Amino acid sequence: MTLSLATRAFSLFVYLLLLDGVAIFFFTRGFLLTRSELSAFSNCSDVSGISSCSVKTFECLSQECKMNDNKEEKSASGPIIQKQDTPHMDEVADSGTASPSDHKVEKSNGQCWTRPTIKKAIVLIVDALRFDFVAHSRNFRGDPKPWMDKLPVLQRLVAEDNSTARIFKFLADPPTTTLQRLKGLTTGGLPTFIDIGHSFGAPAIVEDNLLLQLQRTGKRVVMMGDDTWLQLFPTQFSKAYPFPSFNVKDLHTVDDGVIRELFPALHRDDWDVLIGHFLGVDHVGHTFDVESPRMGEKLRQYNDVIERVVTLLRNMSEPGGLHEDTLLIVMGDHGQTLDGDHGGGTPEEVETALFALSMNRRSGGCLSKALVSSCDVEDPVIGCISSIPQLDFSATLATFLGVPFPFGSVGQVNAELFDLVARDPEPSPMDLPGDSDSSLCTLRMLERYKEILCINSWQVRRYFEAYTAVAITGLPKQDLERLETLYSTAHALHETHLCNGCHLSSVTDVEVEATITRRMIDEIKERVEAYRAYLSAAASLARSQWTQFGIEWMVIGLLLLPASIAVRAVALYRLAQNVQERWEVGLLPVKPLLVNSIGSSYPVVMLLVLHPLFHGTPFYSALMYIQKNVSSVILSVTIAASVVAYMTASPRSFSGKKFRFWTGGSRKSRKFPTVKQVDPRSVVAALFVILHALSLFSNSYIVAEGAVINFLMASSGMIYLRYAIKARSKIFQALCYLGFIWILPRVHSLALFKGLKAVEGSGFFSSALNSANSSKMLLLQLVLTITTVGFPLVALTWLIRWKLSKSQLSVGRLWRSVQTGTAVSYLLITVYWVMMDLSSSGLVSVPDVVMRFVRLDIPRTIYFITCAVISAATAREIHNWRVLGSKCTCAAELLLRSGTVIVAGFSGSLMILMGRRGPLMLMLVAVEVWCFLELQSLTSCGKSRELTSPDKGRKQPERIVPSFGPSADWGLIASQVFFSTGHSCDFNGLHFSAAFVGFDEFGFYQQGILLAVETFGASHMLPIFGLPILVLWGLRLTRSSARADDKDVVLQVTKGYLWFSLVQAIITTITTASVCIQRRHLMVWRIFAPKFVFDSVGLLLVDVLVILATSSFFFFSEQKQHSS
Amino acid sequence: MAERAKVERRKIGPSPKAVEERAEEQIHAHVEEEVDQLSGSISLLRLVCVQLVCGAAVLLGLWIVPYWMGGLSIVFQPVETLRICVATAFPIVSFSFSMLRLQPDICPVWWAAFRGFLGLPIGILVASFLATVFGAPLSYESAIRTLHWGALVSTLTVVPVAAIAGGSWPIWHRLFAATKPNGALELALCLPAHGAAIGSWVGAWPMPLDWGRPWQEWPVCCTYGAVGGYLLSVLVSLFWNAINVRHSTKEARRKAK
Repeated sequence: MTLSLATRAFSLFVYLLLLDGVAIFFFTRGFLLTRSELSAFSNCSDVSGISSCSVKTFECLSQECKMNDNKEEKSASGPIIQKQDTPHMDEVADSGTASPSDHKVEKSNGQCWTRPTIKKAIVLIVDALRFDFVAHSRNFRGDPKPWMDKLPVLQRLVAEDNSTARIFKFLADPPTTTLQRLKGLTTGGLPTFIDIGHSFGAPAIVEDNLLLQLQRTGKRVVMMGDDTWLQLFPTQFSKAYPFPSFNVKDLHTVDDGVIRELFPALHRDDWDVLIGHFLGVDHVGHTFDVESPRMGEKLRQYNDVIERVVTLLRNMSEPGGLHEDTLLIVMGDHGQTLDGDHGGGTPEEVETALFALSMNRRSGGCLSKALVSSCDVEDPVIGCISSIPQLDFSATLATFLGVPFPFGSVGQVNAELFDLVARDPEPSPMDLPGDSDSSLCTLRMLERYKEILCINSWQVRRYFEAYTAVAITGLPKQDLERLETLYSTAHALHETHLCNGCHLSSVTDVEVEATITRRMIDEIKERVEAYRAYLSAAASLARSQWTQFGIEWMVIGLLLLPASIAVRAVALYRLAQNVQERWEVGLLPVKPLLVNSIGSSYPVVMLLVLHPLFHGTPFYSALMYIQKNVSSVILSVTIAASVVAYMTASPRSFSGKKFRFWTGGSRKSRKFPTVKQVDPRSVVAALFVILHALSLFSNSYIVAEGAVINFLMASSGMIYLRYAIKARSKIFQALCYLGFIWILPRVHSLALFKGLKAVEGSGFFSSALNSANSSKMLLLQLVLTITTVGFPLVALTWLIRWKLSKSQLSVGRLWRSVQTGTAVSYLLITVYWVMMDLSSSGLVSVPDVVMRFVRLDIPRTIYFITCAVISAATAREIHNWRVLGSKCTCAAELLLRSGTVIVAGFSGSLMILMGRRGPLMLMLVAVEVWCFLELQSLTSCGKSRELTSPDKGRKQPERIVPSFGPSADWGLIASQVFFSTGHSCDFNGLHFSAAFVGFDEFGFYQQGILLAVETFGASHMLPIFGLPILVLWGLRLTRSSARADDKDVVLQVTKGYLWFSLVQAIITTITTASVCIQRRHLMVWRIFAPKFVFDSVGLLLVDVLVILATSSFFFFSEQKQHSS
Repeated sequence: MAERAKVERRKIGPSPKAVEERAEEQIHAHVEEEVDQLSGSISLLRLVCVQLVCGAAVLLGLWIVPYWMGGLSIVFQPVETLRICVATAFPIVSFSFSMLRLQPDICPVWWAAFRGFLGLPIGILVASFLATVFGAPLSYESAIRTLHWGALVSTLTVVPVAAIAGGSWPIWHRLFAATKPNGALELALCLPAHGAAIGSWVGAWPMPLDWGRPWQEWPVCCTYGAVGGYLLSVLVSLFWNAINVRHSTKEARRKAK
């Protein structure tokens, strides 16, 4: 291989991008579960698609059996249902006149999917309700804990009448945070961390949900309590009493508010569903812990509230009363650990409780005899406590209220809850004996339940079909096929005829009829079980897809990220060995890499081909697993092998001799830098990187990361100041540098930039401004704009036009056109803001056409200028290289010039995107960077003595360490710019307004690009394109006597990029590790996961940008071959 | 080529190498002037006494005196406590280091103490500015706290040097920029000052944590850090000096033999 150094460096960066990309892909695949939000909604009219569900097998008992042929029966079933339903419908209609909403429902064809079984529902949510708050302490091992048995009213009610009141274990799905849980409870789905939806940022639910369905069918929902509900459902409530949930130390505001509003509302008839959300328990848990006596107080308070509510409801539940058909549900949205944390998936956090009390005393009991569900807790007094997944809540409540199931619900209607509220529609016939009576009741209820499950399965299947059609990452095919088989089995079973024993029904013998009934029950049960099997399989598929971390993928990702760090480190180490013969081969040993990575997949393939041989051995299951994920396994094996090959390709093997494992190099060349060789500044920079990395393990430091970066910057500024004082030169620059570190984070918080209105509100100038009349206001505003926007722009123009032009590097036509371009775009920015002020002040009426031009066309012009400048620069460089390439050794000049041009070209677009404070920020950053560059001479000079020692004859080994300090500091500056421009590693910190600069309507790609440029532009693009300036500045300082040759320049720039991306990779790896360790942490979704997303996107962006920046290396590489 | 290099050199200024060499030469020149006065004339015992007294004064001022005066504590009343602490420690530090002043024949004790007194406000301003650079908040209440903290830190760092060396720039340079203390006295000045600064730097680390403890407030933990670092480095400098003395006396004996 005769690749030049430049080509190898470029390929190395491509390889690193691949490595990082694969690592982050694997980790993300395991960690960030994504789900697409569908915008489809369920409608009442959808019911036509499921008419077959209402085939009543039961009819053949009470009616004349028409079993002779199937078709007849089917056609007959329609009218029979009508007949069956009529009395019930009348009942609904009768009571419906009392409330207008029921009336509306009646008008819209009465029944919607299912028959409503309750008229009102009261849902009291107790945030962070642990299961052992509700269940009796005798069910838990050990002595009763202080927090147990504090809600005795629930126990008592269940013990009194098991057929109207029940306690369940309610199983939440992680993430167990209130917002995600409310989303899950109402949509019946499994909200993931990233629900890919159609809105950026806003938390409002866009998916179909229970509240939306209630609203659409005319039910009125009243909410009181946690204001999270209002964020999620801004318009769905007919009345809402939100209370702030933010302050965790405030234990009582929300609860007292709910209690105050709850009781009056219970007397009113202006709602159909009432939601009360108590936050006290959650806040006690967060502020104190579960064992604190305050928890007992809180629970006792709830006990009283529930007691009063139940008494009140009981008083009003006489036939014809307001709460005759009311269901009271008391439930938790998630549990909590003993320390009061929640968010993860431990049993303590996931297990919460649901208590249901039906006011209708006629109901219940028939179904549970037939469908025995598994018992989770066997309580000696209240009997079996079974568990309900939270997934099922939305479908179950929708059934009860007779509204369509939310489109994305994957839950099933719970049999026991259904049993609790559903009434036997017919009074039991008197002529049947008692035993048969109850079995008839069971039969009828089973029939209804089967019908509901049929609709339920149809709806879940419809959702999966729609999801696979739309989603970006669909569901695994084989799982879907399995589901489909289950569904068709259930459906086929449903279609087959039941009444094969019906001809006996004419026989009046009681015994025979009882037998038939029993057989019927068995057969319906079989069908019910078939549907349940389908629904459970669907739910578990959804769960595996959307809630469980793929630990194995996370581990692979976590192993590959340090590998990419190691590759960078080894590359840097080999760069330092540049005295050896053909040392540059070590930068990217192509042959070992290719051979090993391709060769490594061979055993995997062979194993898979030969897998029948291993049948029965312990390997077999592992092999099957590999076979299932064959592409991922081969990809990771290949990457891992390439990393191993890279690390083990010994220096000796580069010189074409023998390939040996690592030890090939001579002892001398493997010597690590000794203490004397390491300069103190790099040690300090390494200390800063380590401190920064360690801080990422704590959520507090991630929240305060801006302050952490600023602290480290200030520390490095102090060190520069010390150097400056020590050398007695550039003290002014060092002081300026410190000053800018002081100013930069504070610029963003100045109220001045939010426009004069904000200043007025801030109270500082308010008295002066109030007295001023409006024209004075306008004048003030204009002066402000000119000073904050215009002045920095003028300064920057001056800097570009005169300061940089003086340097010899930037002569020529291209440079002049860049100057003109930037000057024009700066002028346009000023015009833009002045016009914006004029129009917003309302004093001067600017015509709409003009404003439209200003708002849309000025930013677009600026974007165009940026693109034009950058493409012109690229074209010009290529041309230059063609003409001059082989004549001069001008790599340094070319790199410097292209870096400057790109930075200058970008600045216009960035400023307009960054808003009013953009120009000032960028000017400050520019001056700060200038100070920083000036200060480089302090530390790099002393170290370069041996480097340029001419008398030795041969070149000394290059030191790798000294360039670490500048690169690490460069990275610090980049992070400081990121944070001080008002960004944070949080999705709420994105500046969404920037996406609409120059555009009015939303387009995913253009707005995404603008947002990305605004977010990462100043902190990633500019530093990377500017890095050659830093490196070459240092190089110019050290090599002032002799011009550096091209190879050296490429070497130095490569080194700079390697160090820069090494620091980024370390930070990202630590973030990834901490997100993996803390994946059950309370704050994982709020703090760690966004940080991980930002860091990994940042790292990939760094890799891509470095590749773009180093692509100019090709000009020199070929040129070198020309010359050699 | 040569011409071009010359042009570049002019642009960049004198080559950094030359700058550093020149700086070192200057330092050496000054060192030669003053080194004898520093290490020779001051007895080590006095130095040890002064250092111990200062350490005790800081401890006294931070915990004991505020406690006597109505049970104040640094955690809950940082401003008052720091004020008492500085009022207690500053006179002791300033006066006891004045005893060790350079050129005692020319410079009376009261003049040295006055130099320490002059050094205090300058130290406060510098320390407070640096604290805000590192991220101390800027509100009025915090600014008051910052100034008080700055008073304590400058009492520990700037005042002793000001009292001893006054406006002698080379000594300041040698102690705070080059960190090459020369002799026992300079070590006893340089090490505790750096200890206090690094101590408060480390002391700031727990501040962002969400433990909600009162001592995480600015400037409580930085004060702890500063005082802790100061005391620790006082001890280190004592030991260091003791070892050096033993070493040098042994050498002297060997030479005498």
